[in-house]
Formats: sequence, C-alpha cells, structure tokens
Amino acid sequence: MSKNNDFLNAVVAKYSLAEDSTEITELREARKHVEECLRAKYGDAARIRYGGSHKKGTMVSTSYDLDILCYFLRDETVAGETLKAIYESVQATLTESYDVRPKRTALRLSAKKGSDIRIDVVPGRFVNEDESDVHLHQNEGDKDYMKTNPDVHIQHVIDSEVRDAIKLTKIWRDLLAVTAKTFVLELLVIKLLVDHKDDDLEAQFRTLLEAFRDDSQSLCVEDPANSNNDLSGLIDEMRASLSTAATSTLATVDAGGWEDVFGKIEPTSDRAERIQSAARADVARVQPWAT
Amino acid sequence: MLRQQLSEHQIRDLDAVLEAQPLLRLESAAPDGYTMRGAFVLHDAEGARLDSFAVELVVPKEFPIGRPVVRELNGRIPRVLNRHMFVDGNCCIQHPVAYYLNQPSRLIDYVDGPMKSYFVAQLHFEAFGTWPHGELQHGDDGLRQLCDEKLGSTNLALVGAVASLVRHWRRAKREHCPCGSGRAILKCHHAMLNALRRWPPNAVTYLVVVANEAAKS
Repeated sequence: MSKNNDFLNAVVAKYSLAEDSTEITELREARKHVEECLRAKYGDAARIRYGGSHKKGTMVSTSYDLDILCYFLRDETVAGETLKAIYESVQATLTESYDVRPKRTALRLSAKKGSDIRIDVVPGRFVNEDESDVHLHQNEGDKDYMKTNPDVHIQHVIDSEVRDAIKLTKIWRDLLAVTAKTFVLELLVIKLLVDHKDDDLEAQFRTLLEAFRDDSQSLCVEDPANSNNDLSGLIDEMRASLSTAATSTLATVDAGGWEDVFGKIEPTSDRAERIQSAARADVARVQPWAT
Repeated sequence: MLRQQLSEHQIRDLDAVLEAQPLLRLESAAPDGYTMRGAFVLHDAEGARLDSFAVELVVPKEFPIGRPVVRELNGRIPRVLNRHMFVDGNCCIQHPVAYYLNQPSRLIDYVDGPMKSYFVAQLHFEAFGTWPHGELQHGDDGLRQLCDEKLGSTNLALVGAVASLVRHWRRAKREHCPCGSGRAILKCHHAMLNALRRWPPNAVTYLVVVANEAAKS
C-alpha cells in the first residue's frame, strides 16, 4: 500500500465517528426526546425508523446528523389526509419543542433559540400495506411529492463496497465547502466507482476527482428506489462546484500532496506554540466584535 | 463562464486571492458582486500549514467601500456572540469603523489581513480560551471601547458631534466645543478633532452615523 493511500485511509479514520463517541451518544439522547414528542402526539400511528448516513455506515464528523423517518400508514389520517398536511402536522408538533427549519423533504431541528441539534425528521406516508415504498411531501422541485424507499437506499450504499470512498468524498466536500447534497453525492460516487471497487482508496478518490473535473457536465445518476425521480436538477446545482473544487484539489495535490488538502492527521506536538507564533506574526491584529 | 461576469478589476482581485489561497474558488457571480467558497488555509509564522476553515466570502460590487461578508460553513466555530459569530455562520471579524480605519484597497489585503487575523484568533481561542489581540465588547459598548482606544472618549454623542465637524475643521476649531463646556474646540477637545482629521474620510463618515445612532438609543 502506498504512503498516499495510507494517508487517505487515515483521513477517513480521523473523521469517522465511533458508536460510543460523545457525538453519537449526544445525538441518540437528542433523538430520544424527538421521538417522545412524536409519540406523545401520534402514539403508535407514527412508524418511526432510522435512516441516513448512520444507518448506511457513511457518517463523518465533518457533517453528521441523525435522520428520523416518521411515516404513517396509507389509510392513517391522524396527521392529516394529504402529504402536505402530514408534513405540516409533524412540523407543528415539533415546533412546540424545537425551532424547525423546513428542507426539501425533511425538517431540521434546532434547540429553541439555540444551536442545531443535528436531527432531520422526514415525514411521509407508506404507499401500500407492505410498508416499503413511501411518499414524501416536497417543498422544492417540479413536483410537490416524491416516491422513494429508504431501505433500498440504505442497502444500495451498503452493497456498493465503496463506503470509505463515500466517506472520504463527504469529508472533502465539507472541508472545501463544495455544494453537493449527500444523497446525490453518494449515488455519484457509487456509479463512478462501479468498475473500480478493487482499486485502493487513493486510486478511487483520484478517479472521482478526475471525473468531477473533466466530466462534470455529463454526470448523471438514477434514484435506485425510483427511476422516475428526476435528480437532474439536484446534480445541475452541483456541477460547477464539483468541477472547480476538484480542479483546485488535484492541482494542490500534484504540487504538494494530500496533506495540503486535508491537513495533518495528528496535531503536531508544537501546535499550541505554532498558533501563538501565528498570532504574534499577525499584522492586522483585529479585535473581533459582534453587533 | 462565471469569470466573464466580473470586471477586470474584480478578476485581478480574485486571481490574487486564488494564488494565495488555492483551495478557494469562485462559486457564483452576479451584478451585485461575487462569492468565493472553499478551504481557507492558515499558516504558522514559518509558512507551514497550520489549519483550515471551510468559508464563504461574499465580495460586494462596491468593494472596498462595500464590506465583504465572511461565513464559516462547517459549524466548527460555535454560533454564539461570545465567539463573535452569528447563528447563520456570519463572522463578526471587526467593527465597521475599524474596517474603514484600515480600509483595504485590494481584496488580497483584506483576506491576508483582517480575515486571516480573525481565523488565527479563533484558533487561539480554541487552544487557549483567549483572544490574542483582545476583543471588542458587543454592540455599542464595542464602539465605545474603540472610541476610548482611538480618541480617548466613550461619549458617543460627543464623538459623533466632533466627527461631524471634521469636514469644516478650520472653521470648527474656533466654534464652541460640542461637549457643552462653552469653550472653543481649540481650547477643549481639539486633540479629538485633530485625531479624527487624520482618519480616512470613510471611517469618519461611518463614525458620525453610528455614533449618533448609538447616542440616541
């Protein structure tokens, strides 16, 4: 294994979250309270499941959260009769205890007048009795609803055999502030690496970056849970950002190596001293202020 | 394609920043300005990579008179006022009066100056719990603190009134001092008037507005 490959694997390890980490423990605690809110309102009518990167094994500390899927049976009307009504009912229920920010299909929770608690709640309704496919209300896009299947997504990622590459790409996205929604980015990584599963991590990541840099206009993916879901709008939003970020990343790596992109794995023993020297060398010496 | 929407001056500014910070990139461009995003890399005194923050830098068309807006994007810095951060990730880099006192002429001077200084200060706070060059108190108290340091007074009504005389200072220095002493400025707060005369005009103009607003509230 090359030194570069070892380094990138160490990057993935550095930003991975252990099950017993403080972050996951706190998230689980927060999730428990959210579930209690939903159960208090809807009882067993709310079928609560977990999804997202935690279930898929692709969670990274640079942008972690827990997804709570709150689905209702097809003929259940306790939360409303339409998908929009269900979405708004769950939103109103959670607003009693949290600040709620609507997203495309989910509801992002923050503490009241406080910080993000890193939980997304996704309200929806099962399409039929087998409780597999679901309909979700959509706030953006051409249609106001979509049909999907979270179990298919989860299994698609687990079966991909490229979860480390997915994690590394998410870490890269977060450190370089690349505009790229996780759901689509994961599908892109899986598709681009379908013939590269046996490559090492460095080769896989280079393949991805070169595709982002050179072929951004032709990138496309399909929703494995529903081929009718049009993801082109989401990918269009990402193309330019992926391309320019990949271009600068590859140029930086070729000039100085992966450490120039991701930083050192471990802080140096003299980190505190280096920070002090940077502060002493600072010419501008601003005094931060807040209005 | 985005670059085609920028003026020659903006492109020069942009390229200078990209050369110094190669992991930043042009993210969007519009008639009212442009936005850069990426990893903002900090170096130690020897030039070795120290750390990085995921940032967004919004440069208004009127820069440098229009102030850039910087956001930290990953939530690494807690979104609390005591860390000089807004809930939406906007960084409170410096008081606007301080910006105009040292108004940059090029974007690279802002990026290598106040922006870098702010993030180095955040690293310092992470490591030691203190701000290396101090901090301004929140809101109008920060303006009072700044005026105390630069002009020797926390009386914002007075500071605003004296600052508004700068443009006509030759005539003004013989007028009664705005402090209400009954004496001519020449024999009263002349030092403040002289200090303000040496300020860049934009800093004086901004100070007049904010000091008078603060004095009223």
